[in-house]
Amino acid sequence: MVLQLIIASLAMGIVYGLVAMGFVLIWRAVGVVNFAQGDLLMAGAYVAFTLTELEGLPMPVALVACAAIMALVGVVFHFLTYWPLRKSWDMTVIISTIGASIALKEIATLVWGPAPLSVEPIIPGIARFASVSIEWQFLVTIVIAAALMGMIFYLLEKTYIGNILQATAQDQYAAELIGIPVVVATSMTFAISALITGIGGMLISPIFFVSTTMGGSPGLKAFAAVIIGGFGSVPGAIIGGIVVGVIDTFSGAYISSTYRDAIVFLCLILALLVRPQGIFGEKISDKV
Amino acid sequence: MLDIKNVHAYYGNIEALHGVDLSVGSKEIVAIVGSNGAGKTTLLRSISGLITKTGAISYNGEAIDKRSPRHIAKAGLIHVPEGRHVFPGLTVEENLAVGSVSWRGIGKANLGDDLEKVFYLFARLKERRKQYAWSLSGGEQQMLAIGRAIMGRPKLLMLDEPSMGLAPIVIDELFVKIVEINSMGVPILLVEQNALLAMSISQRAYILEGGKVVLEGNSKDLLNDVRVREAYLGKLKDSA
Ligand SMILES: Nc1ncnc2c1ncn2[C@@H]1O[C@H](COP(=O)(O)OP(=O)(O)OP(=O)(O)O)[C@@H](O)[C@H]1O
Ligand SMILES: [Mg+2]
Repeated sequence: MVLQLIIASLAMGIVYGLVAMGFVLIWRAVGVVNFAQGDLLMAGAYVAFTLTELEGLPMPVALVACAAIMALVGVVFHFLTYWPLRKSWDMTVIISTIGASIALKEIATLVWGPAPLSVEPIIPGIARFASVSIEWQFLVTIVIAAALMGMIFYLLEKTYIGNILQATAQDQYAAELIGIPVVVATSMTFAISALITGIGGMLISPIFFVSTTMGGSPGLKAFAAVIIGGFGSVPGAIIGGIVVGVIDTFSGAYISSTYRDAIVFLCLILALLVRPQGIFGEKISDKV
Repeated sequence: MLDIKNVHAYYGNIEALHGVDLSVGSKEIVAIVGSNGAGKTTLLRSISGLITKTGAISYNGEAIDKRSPRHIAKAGLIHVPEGRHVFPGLTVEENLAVGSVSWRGIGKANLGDDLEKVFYLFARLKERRKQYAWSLSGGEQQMLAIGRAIMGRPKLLMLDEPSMGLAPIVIDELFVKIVEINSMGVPILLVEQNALLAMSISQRAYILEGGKVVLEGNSKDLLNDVRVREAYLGKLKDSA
């Protein structure tokens, strides 16, 4: 029982971590919190529904196609919510992401209808190891999400293109002066953010029903993960996601499944009282 | 090679440059001096395509005044901004690699010779190449900002107050390197508040006041000019 719960909480936690990483990438690139992050997760789940249930694509193909579509959604999102407003006050951009959150829900209702939909697991059934039985979907989620995180982390930290994205996030003025195409770099960052968040949505779509409001709770929990991990830190977002996943799943199982969200936020407040800067603090003290 | 004619520059409705003419020859160090708010930074921003302006700016006969900052950097006019603006969360090495973007784009490239040049000029950067830029001293950050510009293979280097906030001994070391970069064949447009320092390494200088060139000439002559002495040498004592 405990082992099953640990696996389940890791699976949820790593998805929160993906969404949290999505938050952090946009926060670092343009200095605003994207209130539509959870809705990008919802969009990923609907896209996954279309690709697997309606189009019947084999899973690896659907995964790659979903990633590509969500990257494109990220680019469109960038050009509608951020780019035209980049010279204005941060609050304007934040409000525009709130608008995007509403718009994404409306679009989903128009395209897929208001009724919740269900998606088959990537690998159906139960895996048995000795006396423990674990749903395959949880294992698949952990493996795919971890691989994706590893790839993004490598891209950002170890490659020249990743360094260009980071440079643009850290100092747009200098980036422009040395000849970085800033618009390409910021839209690529939005693309990556939407991609990882959307894949998060695809991974949890068989666990929950797919609905227009499904992004709300994971979005908030991922935001809690960002705060617990330390605002702006990518490793912090991942660790924070797993911490939130564990609290969420265990409190749902042992305390109350009705109040699990409330318990997560209670823990968030406690964590903030003990360590206001989060686990990893700010790596770059307020971007210097 | 760089020719600026009648440039007016604007921040919104406010006109910050009122018709500036200036040129830089292919081997020169040219200084722009002037007090706070004179428009020195604004002039560099106009050249780099960062600000609304009218007038003509050409580089080797080609008009660049309608170009974007990226195209201007690609053409080899590299601007090291006031306040250094290194990328704090990247290492020294990563900052330098990113500096090659103007000519390299996003493709692969062999940076060996370029890095060697930077490390030859600034050996300190080589020692610190795995360190994050935020952890460097002010002098080292200025070296890194200039090193990053050199990675862009500049055909004209624009330096905005490289001496700002540095100790005199560090400034001396840095200015020796600036002369050395120039002797490698890179013309330099040097903005400085420290008039004596700037004129001592430049061939020609322009004095900017209130968004206008009020005086220009050979640096040696200007250093002996009574008006310059009155206006700037008094300040030298406290700025040095
Ligand atoms: N972003 C801006 N918005 C509005 N006005 C500005 C802006 N930047 C500069 N100015 C104005 O333009 C004029 C020239 O400023 P500029 O920064 O070019 O001076 P500077 O010679 O570089 O001064 P310093 O030696 O202090 O760096 C000043 O009057 C300044 O107030
Ligand atoms: Mg200035």
